[in-house]
Order: sequence, then structure tokens, then C-alpha cells
Amino acid sequence: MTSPRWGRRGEKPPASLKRIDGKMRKDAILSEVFYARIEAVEALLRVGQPKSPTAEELSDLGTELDRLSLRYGRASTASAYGALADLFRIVSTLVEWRSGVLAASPEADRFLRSAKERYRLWLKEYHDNEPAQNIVSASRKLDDVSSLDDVESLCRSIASTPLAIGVFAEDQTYIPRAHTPAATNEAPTELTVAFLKFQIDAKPASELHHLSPNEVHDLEIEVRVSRWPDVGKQLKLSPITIEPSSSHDFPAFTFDRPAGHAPYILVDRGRALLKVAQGLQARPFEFKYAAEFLPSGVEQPVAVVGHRTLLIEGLDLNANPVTGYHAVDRKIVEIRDNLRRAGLMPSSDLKDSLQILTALSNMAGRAVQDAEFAGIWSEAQFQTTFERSCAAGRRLA
Amino acid sequence: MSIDRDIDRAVASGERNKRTIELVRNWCAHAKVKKFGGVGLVEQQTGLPIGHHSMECDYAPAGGMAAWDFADAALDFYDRNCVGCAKRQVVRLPNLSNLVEERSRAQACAAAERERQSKAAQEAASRRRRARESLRAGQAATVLTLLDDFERLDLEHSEDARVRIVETAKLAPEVFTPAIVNHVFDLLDAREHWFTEAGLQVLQYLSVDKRRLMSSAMRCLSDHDATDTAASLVQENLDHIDPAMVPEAVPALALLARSPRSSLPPDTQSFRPAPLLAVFGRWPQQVCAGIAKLLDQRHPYWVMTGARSLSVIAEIDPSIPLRFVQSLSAKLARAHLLIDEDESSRGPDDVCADLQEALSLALLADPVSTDETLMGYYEGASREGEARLIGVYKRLFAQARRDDKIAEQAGYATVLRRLIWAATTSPNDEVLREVLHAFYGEPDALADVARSQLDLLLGSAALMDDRVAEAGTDARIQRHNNMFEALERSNRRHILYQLSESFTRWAAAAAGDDDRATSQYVEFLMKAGADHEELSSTLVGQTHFLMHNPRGLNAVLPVLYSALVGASNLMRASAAKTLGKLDHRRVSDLPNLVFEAFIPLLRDPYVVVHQSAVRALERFELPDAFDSVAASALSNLIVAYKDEKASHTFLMDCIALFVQRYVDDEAKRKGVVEVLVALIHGIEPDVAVRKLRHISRKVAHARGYAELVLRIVRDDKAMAYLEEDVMKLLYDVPAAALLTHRTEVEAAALNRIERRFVVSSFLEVLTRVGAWPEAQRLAQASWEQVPDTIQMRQVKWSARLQLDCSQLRGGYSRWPHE
Repeated sequence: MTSPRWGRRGEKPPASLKRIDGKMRKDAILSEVFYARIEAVEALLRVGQPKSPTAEELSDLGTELDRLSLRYGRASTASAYGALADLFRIVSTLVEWRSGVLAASPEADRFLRSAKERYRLWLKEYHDNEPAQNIVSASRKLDDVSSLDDVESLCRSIASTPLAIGVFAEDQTYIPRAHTPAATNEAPTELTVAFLKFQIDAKPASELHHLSPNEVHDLEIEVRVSRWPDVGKQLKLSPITIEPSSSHDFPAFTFDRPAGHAPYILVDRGRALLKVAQGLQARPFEFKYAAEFLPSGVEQPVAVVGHRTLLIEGLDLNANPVTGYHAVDRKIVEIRDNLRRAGLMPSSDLKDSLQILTALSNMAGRAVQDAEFAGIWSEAQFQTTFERSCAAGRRLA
Repeated sequence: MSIDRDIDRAVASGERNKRTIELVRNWCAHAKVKKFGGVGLVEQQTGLPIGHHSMECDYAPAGGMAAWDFADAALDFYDRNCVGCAKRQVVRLPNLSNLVEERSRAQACAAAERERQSKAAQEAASRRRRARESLRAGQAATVLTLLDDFERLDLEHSEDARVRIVETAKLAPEVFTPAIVNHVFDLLDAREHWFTEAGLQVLQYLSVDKRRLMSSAMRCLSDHDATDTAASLVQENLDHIDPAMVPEAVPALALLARSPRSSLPPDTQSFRPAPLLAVFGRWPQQVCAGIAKLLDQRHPYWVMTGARSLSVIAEIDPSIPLRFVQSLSAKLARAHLLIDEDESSRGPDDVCADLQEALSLALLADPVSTDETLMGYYEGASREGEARLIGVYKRLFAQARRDDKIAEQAGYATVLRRLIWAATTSPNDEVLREVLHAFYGEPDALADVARSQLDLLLGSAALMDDRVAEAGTDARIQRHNNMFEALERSNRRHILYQLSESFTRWAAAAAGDDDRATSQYVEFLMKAGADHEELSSTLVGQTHFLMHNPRGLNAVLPVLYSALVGASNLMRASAAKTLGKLDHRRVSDLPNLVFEAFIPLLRDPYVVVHQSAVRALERFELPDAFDSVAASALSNLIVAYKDEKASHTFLMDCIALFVQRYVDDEAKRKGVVEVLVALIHGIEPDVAVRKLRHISRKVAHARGYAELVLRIVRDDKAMAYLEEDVMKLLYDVPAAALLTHRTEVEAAALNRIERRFVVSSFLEVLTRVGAWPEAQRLAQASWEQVPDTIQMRQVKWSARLQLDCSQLRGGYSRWPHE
């Protein structure tokens, strides 16, 4: 079987082969690649023959294969062709060695040494590359080349290596990139705000901080700012919360542009107040401090990092015990927090569960402290007492 | 009515095409007719061949084209391929020869007309020559040379001769004797078009009677001849113009100033408003009379020209459109009666855009009186007329939103109120659509106007909510006579809902960054309450506009949180969607309590809620602490939906989200991906592909992925319109899996052998994994499948190339050198 020959290397294939009556995709480049590959194979097969290719010709063929490999979108096909192109350049050095030996040139062996060293580098790059494995196997003999016959044998081996057919080029969707003078300048430091410290009443804020309602507390804050926006006048740190503003009065901190060089460390203090007490059923107050440079149109921080959330428990178990037993109350709060965190229970179910838990815990507290169930109780007696106790309780009744 | 006209036109075209198709089929047994593009509703209902068709033949060497009027395509094909064709097999009469004969007759008539015109032109040329001869007697050589140039210009219409004559007038005006000047005027008076441009240019350099010159220039403008030169002359000699001639010249001046858009893209006209503005400055009444005459025309082109000239003049005199409000409004309201259609497919709809623009300028100049006039016509207008009149207000809004800043707010406030009035009172769907378009997107430059009318916008949203409720009630209790009635009702309800949403969106977007307006919005939302569930959910759904900054976030969060944990399903769903619309920075500022409230929505028993939550989750990331519960909730949804065939799109969304966010190495080790791939097997292939393409890299190594892709490849629906995406999935299948399934891959490819792109892709894939025998068989089958005809020759070559490639790369022994 003979193949039709429409073009030579360097010539463009007929346009009709790229767009055939609207039925072939315009990015089909098989014809172009196929003839470059055929030419490359033919050149390899001619090594040692009367019209043996020169090292320069082989190197050019490698460059052409390299160029075409870049047009493939599929990484595997591109990588196989890229490997072959690199190998061509190494083989061209071997061909140079062969010519040197035949011409009795001085120090011709330097080409052989160079080829072998370059091959080692090539292997490093491709020995794990799956699409190039065929070529890696075919080129194994290169390390053992010591005679001119070895070069010819190696060339035949590489020439006979099958390579995946690549029909389509990469989709060349062009996304224009803005070329402005500013784009070439060095990018400024990212604008970030880091919260370094939160202190309530001179103590570091804990993960869940208890505050007494209707008492004023000191709130101290420390932040680091990577730089200040060019036209920014102030930095405002505001508490973000889901609570209505009538329930609390947590301070917003405003800092004017500081003197000196970035980064800046800013410290301020304010007063925090919970205006309403919290029940057991209620989630803790959550205040998350947001950072905003003013006026609002200026550059804003790309990231606000560090501990900037205050979880405030407004439930005062000492002043308003749940069951009357401090340790039991703490356990109930712990169970409540775990259930909320897991998010496995709808809020209405959680509310009901806490009602029951409170009643049961109260009974358990009494049982332990007052020995309410001293002695031996039958199940029926216990159930009756339990039901009465529940019925007497305001919530469960 | 314009729709009826379009339908009639389509039917007429279909009937013509039907006749032509019959003629083509009778012409030759080899001739084929191919439809280009899809099938429209009218075509579906009538069965007529409407749309582009082309003629094809296996023996045609030159191809052809597709045309709306198939007769054009058939005659073109005939000329290229059928004349002298030895392969033709005649079927019967009548056939394509009828069309060819008709064309020949038309060509003969045209030739006869050309002959008559040519004869008349020759006689006129003889008269001119005699006149020039009479001028030559006793003249100096310079004059004779000039007359020679006249001769050459007349005979050859030579540009060189024209330049020489004009340059002579510039440099040696004395050569133009009074007799020659008179001759020039005579030529202009005789409307010799070949000379008009040169004649006017010559006369402007000579000291001639200016009134006569202006008279000639104005006549040229009336004739639309050499308008550029004539307009320049007029602009420079305003005092010598006869005002009675101005109205006739206005059309040409108006066209120079701003001609109607070309119906063929690209429209690269350059405009020259200065002459019109100059004439208007000197003779305003006459120009207005000319414009009035244009507006009184029935031809769309001239009505458009008149309306557009008003836009030009309004730049120096904003009050000018006010003079024409009555005629513009009448024309607009009754466009279907007062405006014809023209050949270039410009109809009333195209003209209306220009009329609306002129009226919108009048509305800006005097909002109150123009609004009154427009509403006067609105009262008696047809349904289409009502929509066109409301379109004036819409146009003004659309234009204002494109501008960075608007100058006059009062006019826009009137427009906003009128649009809202129309939305809340009109039963006309066309009017409602116009209003909807006016409130499309965000207010942009109109934000201040919207903010000043915040109460009105919010109140109107509430009114629209009531209308939505009414439309919904009607739909439930009334039985529909047919599908179209049901569709119409459903559309109407949707428009009303969209209007409510648009008013809310504008209110929210305008209120953002303004603390007082934000509070106003939030208060309204709180008052709307549970009684207006749909309105409240719409209001909540737009609150992301208010949360641009921490102040807005704080103002909205209490109500948003209440909505997230509230009893209303719609509110929960809406709140979830709002979280999905927040920008990244605001999401990072949200307290964890918000996410805690969001997580249960993923487990919500109501479909609208958990689906909204998943869609929102696709657009933002939860803090790490919530990953495990979110993953668990998503996996629950996946399990719950796996057998819900009607919701497989949502199931696929869940799977994709789960894979993208929550599948890590640990999950892979536990075989989670295999389970998910198995689940995708149960999803319709065309549904699966849409999301699978985004996650294929992450699931490609799972057991069952290759079979999944092969199943999709075998599906006709998926391959019909997602072919490229499906092929991309194939490329991700690991080599080992492909080799294992090489037989099935080959079979799947052979099943699509007629699709060149698919076959080529399979060849790439098969040869990549070394399945050369399969690739060779596929390439062979592909090559054999392409018919060996002239038309398909190039495709055949391409298939042959692939065949050669696959055979030559199979092994060293197959190389031709061996």
C-alpha cells in the first residue's frame, strides 16, 4: 500500500484537508503531522544508506516535530511527539559522531559521549511518562551504542515505533490579556488584615466566653494590616452578628491611617454589653469582626485572617441555674453544644430534647444529692414517681 | 399582528419552496434537496418546507448554497453543475427548466429595458455634444481645452477629467465664460447625474449668481444627488436659500445627519449632522415642515429618517421633539395601519424603535405633558399599540442605564412611576413584557431615581404579589380549553412574578450602600411577614444587594437568619439562595451561626428547600468544621434521589458537588467513587454528561467508569447534542481500562461510523493505548463508509489518510520501505 504525498516538510497541507465540505473539524491537523512524521521516519531509515541524512537535517526534523507536538491539545499525544522530537536531536549527535568516525576527525568520540549524556537526561524526563513508553523502549539501545552498526540499528528501532494518531489540534480559544503599563509593574503586597488579639476584661477571649448580661465589659483588640490602600482613610472593624441590635452593644473600632511603614499594628479598646440574658435553649451570641476600609469604594482586604469571632455565652449558671446543680448544668450545656455543632437535629427537636433533658437531669441531681430513690424501688413505683415528678414540672406538664 | 404577518410570510415562502422542490425532483433523479437548520413551529404545523434549503447531487463537482427562497439556490446549483451534465436522469415535467425559462424571460425584459435606456442616453449625449460644439466657436485655446475635458467627462465619466475641470475653476476661473457657466447650469437643471458632483464643485469656485447656485444645490438635495457637495454649499450659503425649497431638501440632509440603520451588518455608516443643524438654525420652521412630511410618509425608511433627524436636532434644541409628540405618538400607536413594509424587511417594528427614541427625547424635555399625550393615545390604542407606547418609557430607561450618569432625575422619576403604573394595572401581556424589559438587571445609573422611589417600588412589588396570587387562583379553578391557553396563563403568571422580583431587585440594588434605604427595605421585609409569604421570600432573595458592606450585613443578618430557621419553606429556600449570591468576602464575614442554620436546610424534607441549599452550596464554601456534616447531608440526598428519575439532574448536581468538595484519598480507598460511578450508571446519559465532564478526572480511575462512558457513547440523545463533551470523557478513561474494553470501544465507534469527528476521536484514543488492530478496522470501515462520489471526495481522502496512518503505524513490517 502506498500513501498519497501531498506535501513536503515546511509546506502547508492543502486547505481542503483541514475543512472538508463542512464535515471535518477545522482543527484537524493529522495531514500536517503525518507527513512530518513520515519524513522523519524515512530519514532515520536512510541512516547508513547511500543518501544518509546529515545531523542538521535530523535536527531540523526534530524541531518540526517539536513544533507540531505543541499544537496537540491532548497531553498524551503532545508528550509522545515531544519525546520523539527530543530524541531526534540526540540521534542527530550520533549521526555527527558517525560522520566524524568515517572522516577520521579528531576527537569524534565527544559526540558519542554527548549523545549518551543527553540521552540520560532525556530518560529522566520520559522514563515515567506513559505516552512515551514505546519510544523509551525503542531507544534503550542508545546507551550501548559503540559501533556504526549500532547507530543504524537504533535508528531503525526508533523508526518502527508506533505513535498514537493525533487528529485534532488544541482548541485555540484566545483570551485577550490586558497589556497595561500597570500590569508590568511589580504587584503590591496583598492587602490583608490579621486579628492578633481579643481580650475581654483583660483576659484573652476563650472559645466560648461567658459574660454577665447587663454589665459593661472591656473589649480590647489588636490587628495587623499588611499595608494601607492608597486612598483609604480609615479602617473600620465592625462586629457582624445575627442578633438584633437591641440585644447587645458591641463596639466597632475605627482606625485612621497610621504613620510609618507597613505592616501596621493597631490596638484599641471599647466597651461591650449584652443587654439581654440568654436562656438554655438559646445559642451563644456570635460576633464576627469584619474589616472594611473607608470610604467604601477603596480597595478592600483580600483576606481577613486570625481569630476574629467572639462566642459569648450570656447564660449565667450561677445566677440562673438550670437544674439547681452546677455540675449537672454544665453537662447539659456541653451536650447542647455538641448537638448543635453536629447539626444532626432540627432546632425544634433540639429544643424538645433539652426540655426533657433538663427535667431528667433535675431528677438525677435530686436522686444523687437528696437520695430520693434510696432503698429498693420496683419499676412500677419508679415510673409512678417519675410521672408525678414530670407532671409537677412546669415545662413538661 | 406582526406575528401574524410573519407567519403569513413564512407560509408564502414555504409554498414557493414546495413548488421549487417539486421542480427540482422532476428535473433529475440524482438531485437531492437538503434542509439547512432546524424546524420552526410554523413549519411543523403546516408541513411546508420553510427555511433554508440547498440542492445536492453526488455528481456535482462545484457544490452549491442554501437559500431562504429555494429557487435561488436551485438556479445557482443549476448554473454551477447541471448545465451540460452527462449524468442527468430526467424524471418528468414540469421541472427546473420552468424556473430557468422564467429567469431567461426576466433577463430578456431587463435587456430590452437597458437597450431603451441606452438609446435615450445616446440621444441626450448627442444634444450635449451639439451644445458644446456651439460653445467652441471663436474661443481661445484654454477654453477649448476646458470644453475637451467636458467632452471626456461626458463620454468616459473620467475622474481625471472631473479633477481637471474643477482645478481649472479653482485656479483659472476666468476660463469659464458666461456661456460656459450657463452651460454648467443647464446641465444641472437637466439633472445630468454624471455631471452633478463636478458641476456643483465648479460653481462654488466661480462668482456666479448665488441664488441660482443654491437653487441648483437644493434641487440636488431634493433629488438625493451629489448630496455631500450640495449640503456643503447649502451650509455655507444659508442666506441665499429659497426657504420654500427647504422642506424638499430635508430628507437628504436628514439622511446625511443620521440615516436609518442598514438592515445588513456591519453598519459602518458615518454621519454628518452639521448641514442639517445649520439649515435648522436659519430656517427652523421649514425644516420642521420637512420633518413633518417625512413623518407623514407610509414608507418605513422615510419615517425612520424623520424620527432620527429629530434625535439629531434635539442635541442643539432639546425641545424640538415636543413639536412632533402628537404625530410621533399617533404613528407609534397605529404603526400597523400607518406604516407599510418595505422590501428590505424593515417593517413597523423597526420604525418603532426610532419613533420611540424621538418620543423618549420629548419625554425627557417635558415629562409631564409628553406623558399626558402618550397616555391619551394609550387609552385608544390596540394591544400592540399600548406596548409600543410603553416601549418609549422602556427605551429611556435602557438608554439611561447605559450611561454613567444621568443629568435630569425628575423625568426619569416620571418614567419610573408610569412604568410601575402600567405593570400594576395593565391586563396586556405585551405591556407587562415591555415593563419587565425596562426593569431588566440592576438600576445602574438610575440607582438614585430608584432610591428616591423606594417606597413605590416596594409597594408595587407587594401589588404585583397580589396579582400573582390572583393569576395563580384563576389558573387553579378554571379549566383550560387548550394547551395554548394554559401556556398563556402560565406565562402571564411568570411575567407577573418576574415583575415583582424586578421591582424588589431594583429596590434592593438601590438601597445597597445606603444605611437609611437599607433600614427601609429591612423594615418593609419585616412588615410583609408571614401573610405575604411569596413577597417575603422574594424580598429575602434580593437581600444580597444590601450586604455589600459590614453595615448592610449587620442590618440584614437578623432577618436572613430568621428566614433560614423559620417555618416557611419558601423563605428558607430563598434565604439559602441568597447565601449563594453573596460575594466571597461577605461569606467569610458570616458568623458560624449562619452556617449552622444553613446545614439543616441540606436535610430539609421540602424539595424546594434542600434543592436551593445544594445549588447555593455550589457557589460558596463552608468553613472546614462543617465539611463532614455537609458531606453527610449530601450523601443522604444522593441516596434519597437515586431512584427519582424526574430529579436526576439534581442527583447529578449532588454527585458532582460531593466529588468536587468531599472526595479525598480516604474516600477513594473506601470505594466511595465506585459507588458514585455505579449510581451515575442509573442516570440518563445526556443528563449525566453535563456534570460528569467537570468531575471525570476525579472519577476516571474508578471501576466502572469505562463502562459508564461506553454507555454514554452508545446513547443517541447524548451524542446528538453533546458529542464533543462525550468524547472528552472518553479521553479520560485510563489506558488499561480501554484495553480491557477494546472490543466494546471498537463496536461503539463502528456504531457511529458516519460521524467523522467521533471516528477520529476513537482513532486517537485507540492508538494511544496501542489497540492498533481495532484502530485499523475502524479506519477501514470509516473509509469504506464514505461514498465514492465527487461531492464526498475530500471526505474520502481524509478517511483514507487515517486508514494509511493506522496501517503504517501498526508495525515496522508494514512500512513501504520494507
